[in-house]
Amino acid sequence: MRATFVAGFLSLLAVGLSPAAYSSEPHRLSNAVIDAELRQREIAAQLAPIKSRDDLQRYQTTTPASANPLSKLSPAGRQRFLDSLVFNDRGELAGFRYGDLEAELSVSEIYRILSLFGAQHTTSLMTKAKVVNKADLAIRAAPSLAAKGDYDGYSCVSRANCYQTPQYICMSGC
Amino acid sequence: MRFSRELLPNPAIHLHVRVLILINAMFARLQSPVLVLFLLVLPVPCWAAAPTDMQRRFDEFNKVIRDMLELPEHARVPAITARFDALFDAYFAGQSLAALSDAEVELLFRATDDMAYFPSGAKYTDLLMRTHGELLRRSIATSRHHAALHGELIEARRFSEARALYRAHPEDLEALPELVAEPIDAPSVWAVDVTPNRLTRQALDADRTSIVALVHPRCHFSQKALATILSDPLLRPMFARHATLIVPTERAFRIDEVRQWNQQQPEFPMAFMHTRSDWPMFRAWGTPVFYFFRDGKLEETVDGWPQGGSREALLQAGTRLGLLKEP
Repeated sequence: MRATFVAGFLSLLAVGLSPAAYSSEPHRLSNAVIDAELRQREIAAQLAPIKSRDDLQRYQTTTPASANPLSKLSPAGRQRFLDSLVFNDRGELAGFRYGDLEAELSVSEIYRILSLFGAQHTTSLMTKAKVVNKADLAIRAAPSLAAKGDYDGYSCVSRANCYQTPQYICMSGC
Repeated sequence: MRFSRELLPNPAIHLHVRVLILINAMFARLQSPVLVLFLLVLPVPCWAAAPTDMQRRFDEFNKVIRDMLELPEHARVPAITARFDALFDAYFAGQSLAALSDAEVELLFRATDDMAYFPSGAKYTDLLMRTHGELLRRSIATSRHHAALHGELIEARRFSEARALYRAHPEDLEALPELVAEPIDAPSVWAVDVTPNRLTRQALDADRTSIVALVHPRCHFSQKALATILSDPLLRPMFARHATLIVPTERAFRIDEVRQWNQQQPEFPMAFMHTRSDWPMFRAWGTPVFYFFRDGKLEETVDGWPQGGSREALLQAGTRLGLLKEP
């Protein structure tokens, strides 16, 4: 199932991202780069400790605050973020509200939170987040194809179209 | 005092103050050092954690947005707009904005930014500018605030104001692309120019306005729809002859992504919508949505690309309007 999804997504990317399409572009992407990015996303998703609401509840009750990156958010911001999470039936994060992450946290703090869900590649979409240390700069500078599969400013809803919603990201798994 | 102004409207704080007074009275009678410590420690976390009235309104507004995600857009936006007005309009009356705490103004900016994001009219762009002005006056505006307002001005196609904001904060913002425009008194688009980072405003090709497809290169439902259409022996020629692919207004011109698509599919170029007000007949602004016109009148709408696609719906609409020809 997972392999099918990845292959399907790769073919979707290929529609818009074939090497030929980039022949005159400064940001030339090859199939190998796309493939590597998708493999990284797949590994991140497989290793993510939180793949469902049950996982989330378990994580929140068993993880001390000092080791929990979610504790960096204000209580209200954390609640809004957690309430917004949408998981698909494959255990992937399909969408979330990023407004509180971007407003309250630095780039690396956001990266740590999204790593809990295997969605750290979407950090690059949060362009207004604070940059305060070298890790933030490194994450910001790292090339990412996040924009190619994930859609910021849109939410994951069941109506089968991309629905404009402030501060949300609709991910490729929606 | 700003501190008390933030706290006093909150009934929970009134209760907390009463508890403190009670403890204070007990302390006076018992002279207990334990109570002294209790008094010193208790107020700080309680006051810090208690939500202000603005926080509660902000939370409620975000819950409204979340709860209405599944509603069709023509029902969703008016409901969200009405709730915003009920929750926040009073803060914009008279000198109310100046009386808020810094934290409250920041939250109000975020709420207004969320509201302005919806296709709800110039009022909310103006309110966002006012709130941004208040943040500037207090010297607490950050790059995040500048970028949010800049994006909103781009989406509202208020380019001169967007340029002015860029000139004031060039280190925090990206410059607009070069925009080449002649006055056009008809629905129009911003076409990606061969010159890098330049857009040219163009009237729609009259031969290709029987189908207006709202799509986005970043939307995976649009990608699936276009992949199906372009590989279909009936749909592809119908779209080649009659369709225009338009990217709805948003807070940036994602020129590189549209150019990449256009280079790969020159027969089906995408362009950026100029303004939503050109299309008062549209009831949905998600992507993809396919609007079918006859003699300028909207006749059919195919909304979304569900599991299994909407091929049949497109074919039926094309047949009813006489747009479909055998390959």
